[in-house]
Amino acid sequence: MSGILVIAEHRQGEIRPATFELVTAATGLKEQSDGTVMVAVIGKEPDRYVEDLGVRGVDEIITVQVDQDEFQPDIYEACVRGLIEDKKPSLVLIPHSVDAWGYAPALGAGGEYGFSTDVFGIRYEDGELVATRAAYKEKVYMDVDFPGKETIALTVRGGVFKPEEEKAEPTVSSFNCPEVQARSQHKQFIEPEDTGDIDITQSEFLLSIGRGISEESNVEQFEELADAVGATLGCSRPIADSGWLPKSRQVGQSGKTVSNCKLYIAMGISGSVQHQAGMKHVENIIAVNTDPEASIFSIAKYGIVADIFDIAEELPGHFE
Amino acid sequence: MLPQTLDDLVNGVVEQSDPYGALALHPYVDDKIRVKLEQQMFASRRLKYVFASAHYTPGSVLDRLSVDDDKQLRIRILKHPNTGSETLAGIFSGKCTARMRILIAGHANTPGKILEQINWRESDSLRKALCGNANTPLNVIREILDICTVTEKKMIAGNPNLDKELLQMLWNTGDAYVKAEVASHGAFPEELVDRAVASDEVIVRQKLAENPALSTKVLYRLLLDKSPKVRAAVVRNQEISVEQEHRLSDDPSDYVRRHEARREGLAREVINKLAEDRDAWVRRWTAGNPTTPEDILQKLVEDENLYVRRSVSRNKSCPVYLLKILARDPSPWVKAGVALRDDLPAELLLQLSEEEDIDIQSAIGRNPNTPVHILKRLALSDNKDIRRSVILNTGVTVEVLNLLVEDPYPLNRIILASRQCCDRRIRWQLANDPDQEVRFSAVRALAMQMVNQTNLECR
Amino acid sequence: MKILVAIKQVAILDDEFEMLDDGRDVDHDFCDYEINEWDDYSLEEALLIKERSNSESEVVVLTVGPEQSEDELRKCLAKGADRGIRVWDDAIEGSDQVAIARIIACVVEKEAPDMVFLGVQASDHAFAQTGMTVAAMLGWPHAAVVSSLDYNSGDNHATLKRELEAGLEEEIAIDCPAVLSIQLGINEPRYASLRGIKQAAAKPVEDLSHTDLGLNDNDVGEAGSVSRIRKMYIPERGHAELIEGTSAEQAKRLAEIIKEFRGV
Repeated sequence: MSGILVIAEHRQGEIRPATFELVTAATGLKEQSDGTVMVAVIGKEPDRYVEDLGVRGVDEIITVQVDQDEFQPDIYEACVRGLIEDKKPSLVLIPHSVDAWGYAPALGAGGEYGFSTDVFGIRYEDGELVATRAAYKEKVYMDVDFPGKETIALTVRGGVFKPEEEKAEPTVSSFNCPEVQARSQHKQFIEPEDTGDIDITQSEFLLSIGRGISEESNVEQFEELADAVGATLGCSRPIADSGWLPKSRQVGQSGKTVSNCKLYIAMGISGSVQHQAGMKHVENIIAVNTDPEASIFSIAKYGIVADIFDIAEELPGHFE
Repeated sequence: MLPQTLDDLVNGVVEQSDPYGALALHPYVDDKIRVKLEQQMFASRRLKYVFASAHYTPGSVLDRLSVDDDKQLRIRILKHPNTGSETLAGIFSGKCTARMRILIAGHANTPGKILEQINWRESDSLRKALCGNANTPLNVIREILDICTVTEKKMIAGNPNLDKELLQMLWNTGDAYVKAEVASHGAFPEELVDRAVASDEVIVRQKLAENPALSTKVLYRLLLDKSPKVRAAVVRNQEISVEQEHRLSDDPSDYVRRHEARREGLAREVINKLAEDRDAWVRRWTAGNPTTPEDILQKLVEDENLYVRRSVSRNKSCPVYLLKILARDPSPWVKAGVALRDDLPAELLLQLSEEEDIDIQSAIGRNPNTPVHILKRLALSDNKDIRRSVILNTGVTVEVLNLLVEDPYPLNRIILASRQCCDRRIRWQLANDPDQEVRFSAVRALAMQMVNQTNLECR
Repeated sequence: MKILVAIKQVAILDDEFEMLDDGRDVDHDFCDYEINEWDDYSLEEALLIKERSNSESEVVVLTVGPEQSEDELRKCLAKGADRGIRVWDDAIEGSDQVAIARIIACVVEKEAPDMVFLGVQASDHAFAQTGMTVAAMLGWPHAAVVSSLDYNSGDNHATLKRELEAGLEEEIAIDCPAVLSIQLGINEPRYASLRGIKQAAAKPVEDLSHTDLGLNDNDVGEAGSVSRIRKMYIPERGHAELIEGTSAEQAKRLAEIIKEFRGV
């Protein structure tokens, strides 16, 4: 068992950037894993991806021709299993992506390979592979090992390794997909709708206000603020309950989950369980609150202990 | 059995052996009963941790928990905002780790005499915590000031208790942000005003302009400032002359005009001009300003921007004949603004209660003048927000609330238990709810109700 | 028609906590427990199908966990599930997701449902693994991260949407019976009525051990696993990075972060 097998991911004709992050991760482990870095690409015309996949660190690109270009879990599972049996890698790296969630766990199911997911650290200790991942909402990290397993498959968290960009020309080979029956069929992709209406579930940037604004007459100032910084205005339950903002702006258990949000600024929101239910998954949460022990700070990436009105007065001046 | 007195309630809660009921009751009973309740509440280590961090845990319980010699438990107590000054002093006098001392130094309820005893030289974090605590005695601050960092100076500068001498020291040694903070302080030394006005830093002049203790003369000088931020700060600060108001309504900066439109008691012609401003935010502020005259509001009712019309609907001074127009607005958000008004004539209220929009329905649900038969209908709505609006209605009757005792959404029941118009029978039913926070909320409301009753009887 | 919904009682870790002496997990005295958020949605989806169905239909909830996890089964029964199954014994302790999935797969074989729903992931360990592992063990068709489902009792096919990255969705057709992992937001989960809560106490919950399912000791626990937690530890970075300074300065920094995010 030697070498690292990276499974490339593509969608709508484009290689997804996570693939190149995995190349970087694999290159870093090359010496210890004692072998080559192979990148396998599975698709209808896999050759069209070869040029893009030719980056530094890749020793071999393996094309696997199948009947459809879109992801299908039965096909991917069969191909990756076949590749493992044939190439006998010691490590298989797969992006921790929605498509991988659909087939990668099947690799662990047979019991013959070690398997773990959402890994962001990989190292060898005394020749044994140790993977690091997080638990309990990132409050703890765990080191996972795989006693007695000669091949280990891991799904790797995105955005951890810097994608390899430098071009190179690895050798190219092909591999025949084993016989497989696909039991689900891709119909179509559906692009997110742009309705033009204000929809906090679609917004990538939300500024949300809570009890801290105290009076209805203060709401307007924060509407103006959200407008100035280019955010959609959301609110916690007490604000919508008072009728100060429409229910459609309410984030949380009794309101909406802001599933597309990437940046969430919580102003004067203490962070009740009900509110957190709608936004705690957002990667970048910035909390502004006078109480340094407010529970919102425990899920925030940045914390600002301050009077929200002081911040609201100051902020627009930076966006003229 | 429905409890009649506090004793009944105690017996009921003890009989249920419910830790959450006991938690709610704890502050209202004497020591002997407290011991009994504590047996119920502190049954496991896990439950103690839960109570030490739950946001609703009363100070009396935190005090009892602090007796336990458990570091993790005490850290939770020290982080809890309900922890009282005596509890904090008690923990301080016992075995304290460095982490615990930092938490004590930063707690808003730690009294000055404890803060004075803390050795701020022990660590940077400890010193920083003291700098951020408004209770830290000025003599301690004076000592710290010599060696503290700029960040700590900024924390100190925000302390409302500072005297002139300390402010002067901060001004002399701080950066622009420290100076700015000092300039906005109520006790800002007069001899520094000229230097602040002449400062090259916009932030210093702006913060000075926000200072409520500033003389009109100084404010007038700041009105000529080249930075719109400074001019806007003046506008939201103080009395300015009608002539100045006129000039400001032509200010090239939207920012300044928006702030002017927020001012109350502007001259008619000025308001008129602002009501026709090209910037929608200026018109919104004008539309919401309670001193905007009726005839100008009448113009704003026709504004193309729905948020301007919404602001009119929420303006306290909006007369009924304009509300009538707004009640037929094409935008449901404007109609919801009308439906929320407690001075709404009955016919308009009935008219709006026919609307299906959720914001309008919730506004009707909250409106204290909404007739009982409509509230009953809303109390049975499929939508939990609409049902909650009825729970939050200040004019709601017990008869209507009865329909909501079995609301499937626990938060609605939590709120119901604490509503003033809720009677003892409903509360007792909620005190036996499957949800622990509902039980807590109900028992606390009952205890408060009964303690008040006892007091009345005593008188 | 029968739908089996596998749920998990998850641990919510307090901000202040300690590790167990063996360093392989947190001290569970510092945890609160609740049903995994995703599982509320998969249960709701099953209940909606049952309520739409004209034929006799049943929703069975399953959990693999110690006695206290029965609380979560009862909550599901209170919302309308018909019966519960809880599998646990000492040998199951130390199982990874694969060993847990093996147990679930055994129950599925025993129950022979028309559909199996699980949450996309559990909020405590977030492996996003169990559902599709169960499918692989059963050899059933499967789809992960289902955000919309068109299926009625008795159907041999379902049409569904998967939520992909960046708001994109994929529509697929799938053969049934199938194992689906259900995404948040697919529906609006209900709250249990007080009547439902009372009735739940009387509904059956079957307690099973691994041997009841015909599994032997090597199939569960560490022996039945493909990974092992070597240790758990608290990462060095703390919670929120505090932005300090006066409010004017904090606002300036906040503006920088916003601008960086917006790429302006």
